[in-house]
Amino acid sequence: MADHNDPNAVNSIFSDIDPSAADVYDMFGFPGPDDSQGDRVVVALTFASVPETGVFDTDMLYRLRMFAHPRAAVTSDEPRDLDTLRRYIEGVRGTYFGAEGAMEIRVTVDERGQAMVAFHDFPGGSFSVTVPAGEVVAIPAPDGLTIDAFIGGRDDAFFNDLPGFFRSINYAPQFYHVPSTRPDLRELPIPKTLLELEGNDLFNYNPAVPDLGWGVKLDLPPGPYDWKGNSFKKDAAGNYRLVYDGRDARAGQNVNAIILEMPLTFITRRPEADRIVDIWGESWVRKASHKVSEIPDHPIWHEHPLAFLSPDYRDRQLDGYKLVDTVGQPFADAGLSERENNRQLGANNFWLAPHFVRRLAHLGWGFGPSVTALGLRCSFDTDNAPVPVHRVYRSAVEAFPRARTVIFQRLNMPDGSWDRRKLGIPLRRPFEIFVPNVCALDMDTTGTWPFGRRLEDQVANRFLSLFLDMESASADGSAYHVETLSEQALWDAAPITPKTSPNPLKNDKEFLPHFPYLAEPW
Amino acid sequence: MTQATAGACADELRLLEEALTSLAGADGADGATRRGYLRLRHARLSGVLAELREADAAVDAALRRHPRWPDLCYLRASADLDMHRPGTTLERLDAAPELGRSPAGLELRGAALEQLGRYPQAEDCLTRALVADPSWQALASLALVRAALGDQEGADALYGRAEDELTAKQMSAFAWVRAARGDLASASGDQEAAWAHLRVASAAYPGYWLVESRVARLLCQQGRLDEAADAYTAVRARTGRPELAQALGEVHRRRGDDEQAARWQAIARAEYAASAERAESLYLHHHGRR
Repeated sequence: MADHNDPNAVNSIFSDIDPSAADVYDMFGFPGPDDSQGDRVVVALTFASVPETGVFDTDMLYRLRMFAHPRAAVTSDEPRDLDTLRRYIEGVRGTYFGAEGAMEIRVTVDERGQAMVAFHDFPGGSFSVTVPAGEVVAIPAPDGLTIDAFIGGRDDAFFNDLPGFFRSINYAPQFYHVPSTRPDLRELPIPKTLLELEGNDLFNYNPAVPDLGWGVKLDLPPGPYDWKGNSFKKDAAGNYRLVYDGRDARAGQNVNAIILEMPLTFITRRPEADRIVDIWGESWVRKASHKVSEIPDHPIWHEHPLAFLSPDYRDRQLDGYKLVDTVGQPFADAGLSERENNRQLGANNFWLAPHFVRRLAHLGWGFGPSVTALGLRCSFDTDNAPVPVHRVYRSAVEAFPRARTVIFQRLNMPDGSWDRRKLGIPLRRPFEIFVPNVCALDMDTTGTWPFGRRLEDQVANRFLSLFLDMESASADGSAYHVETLSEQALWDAAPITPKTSPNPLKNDKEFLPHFPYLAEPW
Repeated sequence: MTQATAGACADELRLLEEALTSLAGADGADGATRRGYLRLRHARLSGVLAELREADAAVDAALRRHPRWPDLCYLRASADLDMHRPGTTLERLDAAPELGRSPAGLELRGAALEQLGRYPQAEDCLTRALVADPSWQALASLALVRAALGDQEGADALYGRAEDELTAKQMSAFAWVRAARGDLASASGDQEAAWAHLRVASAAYPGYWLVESRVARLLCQQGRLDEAADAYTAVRARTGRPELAQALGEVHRRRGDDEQAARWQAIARAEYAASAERAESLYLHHHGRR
């Protein structure tokens, strides 16, 4: 659920909402493997394969937006001089205001399976091409550059125990038919938790209905829904039960995707300075009025492809569409924005920052005691609460002291391989990751999350690792990192069943070593 | 202008039938709600009165089986409006406070108050609903209120806003709004604008009885009586609605065909009476006038 089933307008977890091509799933961004001719940037936007895998909804318009700028950080080997300061300030400006002048790629697909791809405001200019869907094509760009493109159906690259996450937040619609007129009955007022709670009968694993939440749904029983217990549930051997079971809920399922690999010099004239590429995706659906009155029998691009490039036309084109979904960072919308339709802001999600603080504190009161119960150090201040607490904050000021470390701690990486050029790039911190809501790809790294997002990243476990205290070292001197929860040794040693990583550690199909990287569809 | 899909209404009706068939085995409150909703939607789109009655009865039966399911309460209150029972809608919303406070509940309450002619209260209610959720339904209901209060310009602007909320996946709703704008233009004497709206509505969602009945009415208003008779005959044959029989009788009267006029007027009277005998309030206003 990096962004699956978000926002609620396209949340097909609800039985009365059909899967929608407007439901964008994931935004991947990483450096291309072959940099012998200079850096190349791989971006992949995935979304629901509606109406079918490889067949596109002709009422949709997808936008990939990007902006390159210097890194808003000073690496350990950079000189402390005026140039470094100037570059840093430029990086800060690019990070927080770059979205205003972002380049964009618009994609629409017609009934004949022809994709119109329009590149706007790139350094080499704007241009558009028509390419067939479902084929790897090389798009010639200005300045003799080449862009690899694939627009078609693939295996879903996301691997995640979706029902496990929903158990952890007591999200009823995954398990029960929840009345659509009762939005208050979605996340029930039960503490969030990573370990089953004694008496949490609605969400604890029920051997009588083993597939509950995995395709099986029951009518939501009448309330009250609050939790009256005071302990974690333990089996006869004294083991906790993890709310996850590590299965891949997206196994065997496909997406439609827009995948591009382009030279960094296509995105910026200063590839040596602009090392960060901010990327995000959007889905737009055609307005009813536009469908009737503005679509000619023969789409204009067949005869006048240049017409698409004028700013006037672009604005008029978007006037005929409604923004539905955005995706930048995994979990920014589905985890922190709670799928609200009015929180689909794209990169400029600044006004959501207070909400993120409150939400992280709300999650912290749930996940924190679970972390502690497993014998791990927690980054959230729970006052040593022995069990999770359901606490909702109205004020970010009130919530912040509890979540201070969660928000500010540097997220350790398991080893130094991510900093592929050994530049001493600073580790990222949660407040830098989720605001603005972009996939901020650092071209001097491998692009592994949070320095971008690679296909093989287990981002759900990495998101949960925010609640591990990465600042203080253990007795043996080791520190937690974003992969700690993916280490089998941790689960083997923990008093818990099942002894599994919360989420699967690899995709159900092998990724390809070459473009378009995502596996063939099922 | 491009037609969205030839026979879009027929296509959607077929999809609804398939969905209903696929839900035949679904039990529980959610399954019952979905079946009730699909039947009600089918009846609304087909315009067939007998279907509306059946859907109304099906929702009633489902609610008896699952009396505490909020979505069924909502569906019941919504069907009450289709059956011209706005007072009952209000009672149901009062009995379910959480539903009544929700944006959907407020919108429904506003529509019921509008049906009752309690326009200031309806306006207040719909305005509150719009603050929480600027849905096309609330905007369109508010437009109806503004039109009833004589603010044609404000009503049309609200319909325009409602239209802007609708996507290509909601073409029937778009046609509904355009038909309403056609009514508004026609009522203010701008028949050219009325035709423009109806042409767009027809192209957007071909085969929709509601639009076809508005086209027949506009033809009649313009004195194109033979065409109006044909149009009314076609849509009446499909839907069996007594108000269309009455309109057809009126067209024939104006054409000077007294025999056909009397025949259709008699059919309409009989059907109004039959409706009243079923204790329906659907046509009480017609029945009382005759």
